Amino acid sequence: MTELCPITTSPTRLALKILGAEDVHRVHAAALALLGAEGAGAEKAARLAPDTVVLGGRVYEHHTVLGVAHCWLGTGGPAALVRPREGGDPRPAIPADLAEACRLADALPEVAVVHGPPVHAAAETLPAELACCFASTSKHVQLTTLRSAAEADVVLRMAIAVAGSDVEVRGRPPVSLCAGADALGAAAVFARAGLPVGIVAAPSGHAGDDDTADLAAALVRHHAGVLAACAAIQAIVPGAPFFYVADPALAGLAAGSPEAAMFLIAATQLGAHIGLPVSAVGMTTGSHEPDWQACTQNAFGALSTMAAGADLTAGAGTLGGGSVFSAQQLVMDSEIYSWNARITAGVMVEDETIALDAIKKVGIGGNFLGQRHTREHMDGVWRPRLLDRSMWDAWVASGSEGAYEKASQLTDEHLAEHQVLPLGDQLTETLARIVAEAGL
Amino acid sequence: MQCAVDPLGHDGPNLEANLVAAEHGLASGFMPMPLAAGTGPATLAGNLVVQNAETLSGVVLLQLAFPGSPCFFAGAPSVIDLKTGGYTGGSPEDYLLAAASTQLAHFYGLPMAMGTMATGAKEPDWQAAIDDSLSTFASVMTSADLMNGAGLLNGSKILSYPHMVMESEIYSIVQKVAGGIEVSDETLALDVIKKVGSNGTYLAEKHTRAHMKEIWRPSVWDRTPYDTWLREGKKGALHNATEIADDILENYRPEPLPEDVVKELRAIVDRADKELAGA
Repeated sequence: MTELCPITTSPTRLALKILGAEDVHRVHAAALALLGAEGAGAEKAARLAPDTVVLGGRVYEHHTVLGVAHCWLGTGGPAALVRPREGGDPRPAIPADLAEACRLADALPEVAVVHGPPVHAAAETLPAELACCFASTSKHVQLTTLRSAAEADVVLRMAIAVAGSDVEVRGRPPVSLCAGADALGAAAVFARAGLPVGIVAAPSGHAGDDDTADLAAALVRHHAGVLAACAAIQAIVPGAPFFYVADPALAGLAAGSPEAAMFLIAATQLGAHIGLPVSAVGMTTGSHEPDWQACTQNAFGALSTMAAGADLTAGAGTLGGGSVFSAQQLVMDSEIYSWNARITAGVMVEDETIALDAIKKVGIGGNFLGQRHTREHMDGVWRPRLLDRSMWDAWVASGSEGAYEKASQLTDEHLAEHQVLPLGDQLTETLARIVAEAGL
Repeated sequence: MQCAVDPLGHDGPNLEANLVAAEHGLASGFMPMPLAAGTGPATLAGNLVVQNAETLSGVVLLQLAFPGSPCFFAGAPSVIDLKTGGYTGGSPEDYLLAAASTQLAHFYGLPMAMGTMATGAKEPDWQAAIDDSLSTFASVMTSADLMNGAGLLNGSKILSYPHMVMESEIYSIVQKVAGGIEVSDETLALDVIKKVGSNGTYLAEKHTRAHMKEIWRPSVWDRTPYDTWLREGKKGALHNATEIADDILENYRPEPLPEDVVKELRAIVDRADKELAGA
């Protein structure tokens, strides 16, 4: 049975900052200075871009909007390797893995955007992968590997087919582009058609294999790269939807490091400074397994982006710095997102939540279990899907099950039961024809 | 540090111990632990009212008896597990309450000793990681003055040495993030960026040599390439932490107490054993 899972999110009420107001100005000014004569124009161009960006799904329930004080979750990718669900070492991805990854993302209410796409099988073309994504999820697809204008033309035809027309594709674009400098040509094609893009125009440089010596300098380079790309796009199509990409990898920072978390907070501040929505890659664990390390790294990365006010945090489901996709990891990252969404929703303080009357009524040494106030608000208490809260003996008796085992069960259940909203025969045929004609 | 009797109560003998400490100038604190929806309202703001009242009442008592005696706020707020009625030992609400109560402590100009880490997880695993990471983040980012709980699992019922090492790594990460980003002409490095250009490398730059030691390095996290990790037997964080804990326990010796102090402590303990026997 087809099942539409609405996306769950909550408002971001926190405003975590790592740069003072003066520091933001200094980094911004240094980036403009780095751009030289183009600097002034770049700042103006950024102001032309809209402050909200729609990432459309195939259905209304799967639309997301960046720039409205909500942070959405995106998958990671594209990973060339896949960690088998049944266990064992990662193996090269096959086309069926992409369909499965997208279907799982479709079933998980926390996932809003299929970023990547999550899996890349050798010899598969991008249009073929996009057709697979459209068939396997009705959520928005954000591409990161699109490079040529020719490929972008093909993708645009597919997006128009899915949206229904070249007018509708502007209102609810089912595809967006998030990439580095080499995707500027493709980004121009997207921008002309009204599809959202986020580009970092210049390579940021590396101090070592994966470390950049000075974060302030890394921020200047990265910010200049975003400003330059934004200026290039706005020069082609003034007012084109453009989002600020905050990806520690593009800034040359080690996957999941404290510096990456700091960069994410600061980059989000810089994005807000120039009035652009921020698409961050907050889950970039370098761990090879869905373990303690993967969790600490993604918890910090996700909280940094979400608490700082980024609009999208992507990277869920990948391991090894984005090289491996794991279905269980996607479920576990969704739980991390869910925790963080509750945290960033903050504490509501009003007469009803202060509950002074209930406190006085219960008095010293009583309990709130039987109170009407408790019954009215208990559904607001966050509940886990993967955590174990049983007593020790019960836990041992149940086989000492951990989060990974629970994630495996959930993954199997979703993939056994979840049906994606079908594309329909006509659209499926149209997409197949576009892919075949592309001959890429 | 004494726990309150939630909601809104204090234990008599505990308070007497606090008063003795205050009389002799020893720091004294109160740690309320109201469980939202159980011994506190289900709403977080109401839970904060209960724990704030409990701590403040203890502090006021000590200041009335011994004005100026050193006091601190403490806390280990949590939420009831609505499925079992038990202690959750880690939830997003815990961290919001921890952050907010730290703000309240500082509002009164008092330091905060926050119950942090001490996960409900049974093992140093994924669950422990999310709980410890986020609770530490909440405490450090709101400038709690002390965090208690490192090394504890299963709702503070199990002590694990490798887990203590892993939590020290988490603390080190959050401490680094909390240190912020220094923005100055030297750290902006505009001249170096222009010199290297758009496709160069910073490896050989004097600026890199001058600053590379500021980059955080892990003790427990594994950063080896996949093939190396596979070849070396898939050693992960728990393995690395166990090795560090074993090494510390074998080789590290804390500064010993002077002989006469050891003797005096022994005598006090012996006397207490006799005086308190059967008490």
